[in-house]
Amino acid sequence: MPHGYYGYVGKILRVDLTEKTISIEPLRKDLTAHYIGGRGLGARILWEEVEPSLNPLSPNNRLMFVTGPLTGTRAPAATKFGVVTKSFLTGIYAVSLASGDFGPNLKFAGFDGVIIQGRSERPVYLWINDMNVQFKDARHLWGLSTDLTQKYIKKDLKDETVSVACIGPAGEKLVRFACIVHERRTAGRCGTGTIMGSKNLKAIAVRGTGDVEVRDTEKLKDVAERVYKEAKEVMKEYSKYGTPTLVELINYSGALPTRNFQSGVFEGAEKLTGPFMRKKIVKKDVSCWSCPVGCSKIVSIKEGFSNIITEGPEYETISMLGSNCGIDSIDAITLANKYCDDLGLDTLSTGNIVAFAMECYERGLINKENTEGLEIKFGDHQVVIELIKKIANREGFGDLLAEGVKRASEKVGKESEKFAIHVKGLEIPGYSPRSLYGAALNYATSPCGGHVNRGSTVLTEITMPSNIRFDPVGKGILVKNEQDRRAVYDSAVLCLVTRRITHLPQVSEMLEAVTGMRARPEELMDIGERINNLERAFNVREGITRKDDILPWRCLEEPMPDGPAKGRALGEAGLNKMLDEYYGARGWNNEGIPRKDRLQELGLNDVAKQLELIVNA
Amino acid sequence: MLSHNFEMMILHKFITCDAEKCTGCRICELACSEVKENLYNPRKSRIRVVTLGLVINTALVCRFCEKPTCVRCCPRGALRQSEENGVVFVDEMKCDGCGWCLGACEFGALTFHVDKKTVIACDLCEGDLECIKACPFNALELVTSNILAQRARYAVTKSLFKGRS
Repeated sequence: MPHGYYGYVGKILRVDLTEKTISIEPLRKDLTAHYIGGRGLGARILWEEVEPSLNPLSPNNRLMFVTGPLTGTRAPAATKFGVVTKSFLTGIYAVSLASGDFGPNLKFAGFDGVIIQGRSERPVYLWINDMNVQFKDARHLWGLSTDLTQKYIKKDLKDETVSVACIGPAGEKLVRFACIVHERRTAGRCGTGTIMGSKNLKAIAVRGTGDVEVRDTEKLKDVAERVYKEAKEVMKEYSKYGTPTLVELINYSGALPTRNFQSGVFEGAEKLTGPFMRKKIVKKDVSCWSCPVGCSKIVSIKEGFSNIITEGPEYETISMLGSNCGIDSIDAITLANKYCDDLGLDTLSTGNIVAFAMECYERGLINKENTEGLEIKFGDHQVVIELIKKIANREGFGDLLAEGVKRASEKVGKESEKFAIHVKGLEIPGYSPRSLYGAALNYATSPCGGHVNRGSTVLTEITMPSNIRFDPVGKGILVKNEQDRRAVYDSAVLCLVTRRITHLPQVSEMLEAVTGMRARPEELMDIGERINNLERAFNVREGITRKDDILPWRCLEEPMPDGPAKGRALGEAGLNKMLDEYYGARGWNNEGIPRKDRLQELGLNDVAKQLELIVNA
Repeated sequence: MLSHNFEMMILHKFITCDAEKCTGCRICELACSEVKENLYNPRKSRIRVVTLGLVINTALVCRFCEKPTCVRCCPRGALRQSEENGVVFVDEMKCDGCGWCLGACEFGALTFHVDKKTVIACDLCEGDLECIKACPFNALELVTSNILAQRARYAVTKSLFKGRS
């Protein structure tokens, strides 16, 4: 137990791509006690090492791959790894998590995390073969799809079991919302792949053969077995249909983004549901590492005369590349999803921005002259695929869209920013904030911008009676608590899909069994609050204040045309009411800046000091 | 019923995986290394998961062959098969990790233990099989080769006479 707590392997790998040096640093015990690991650990290192106002594309920016104490153990669905960096899309803090076996393998190789800094002159990939770390030439891989990159690296290294996380052409071309792909899973949001591309790092390949030792295997086994039992009941729908099981429910709740968020009810939704998908295209159920649910669906579709076997789209991808673009063909969405994965594009940002372009075209703000003759209309799936290719290669009209919806709308002008659906530059994904006020507040305040997973209250909200659901009062506390809770899952690191079977008391038990750390659920919530405050402090240091915690015009002022929220609009007053309550609950001032005493209570004295200097300056 | 019991007595029971049900979650590997090694490491598991492309997942483990090649090929006589249940025991004093048996087993059912520097194989955990109990998808079970053959006979007959029964 080199670290002081079990569960961790106690080492961080630091890689400097400019100097081509590698060093191994001990994992600091004060960090794990305060931030657990994963997202929290990454946030702290980013705060310490990335100076304010740094250009995200600078070699000095950090790109971190972080795991948690539960990673690699039998804790149910402890499969994820986090990617933490400063985003080129939003200019602020960014975290995105991906599943698969990359995280566990990194732990087995002997590292709790990898910090990448510098910039290689030529394309390289990193080969972590246990403690033996090498830079490998990646010139022959540059320009290749993520699918081929993974295949070729496995061939190069003559090992099928190697885990590869890589970027596609989109990351190389610095498309602002490029993602990092591992197997068919992605650290999708906030443009993690863009930063990787800027460092000329095509991939990281890992083979780990070591052990993960935990404090009490008997106890962990006991918790795991209880969770498996609960999974059979509670997660039945997810096991059978995967996340697309949500399509019906969210559409019924009037929150399924449709035609660039113009509506929350999609007339073609019944052709996108989980059961429909299972009947039509699903061939096999697949699990991520150590997961008793298996929500991943392998599907088979036809393109032209050939059969394509690929991983099926998740709920949010269906909403963004499907209903939001007016498309009701699950085959077409699956194909678009595959193109995005292969090229290394975030499916959610891509769907959002394609829908934006469609609306611009239909309103006549852009025309064929701007789009190289493409007729960009809602419901045309050929156009979606054309645009995906153009964006990934930054070709013609795609070059504009590759800048993200915020910058694209600024270029198009003509009041198009009214329906550019983003917060702080990050495109809002698959739950319409127009009919979910808690989700709206979460989008407005999330540390990454318009991101659902940092504190989604969707499933709570849709079960509320409408007088409570559409009342701004009470949403501030609801969202704060959920954001703090999510930070614990992202730091442990556990999957969010399975959070309904791994409740906080179970997380607390598992953390104790694995690490020996004793933290009651309330104390875990404090850790979550610490992480959220640190991330906010990072963003405040970058100039973020209340003025940025805002939603686009459509989400505030345009009354919803149908569904349970018909005729309603949150309005700026409604948002302000929620923000006041939220800031109050957080102990932040009226401008959304964490107060000194609150930060000190959370043990963030050094952060409080730095913020004080900025606020007073 | 009597003949069935008789068969179970003389034929070796082993763990098999239904590839249709297996999702590749690797919980069996984690459970095995937990029970046997008190830590987590799939490379120290007696049962090993194989994933091929997107669709194929299965787990492989020692099948306790009736005439085991591994036992025959060990130049040091370090492997011995139990007459009672067919389990292949490794004599850690005699085994020096030369690996002839690893290459000889067509199923890749033996694993080299990097710390012990010897070979490890499934020993059926005295009947208390954590891997089978842990599998959330009920993909693992204890069978004999005759049970598998019986199932195959029924499956092939069904498909030959599709729609006529």
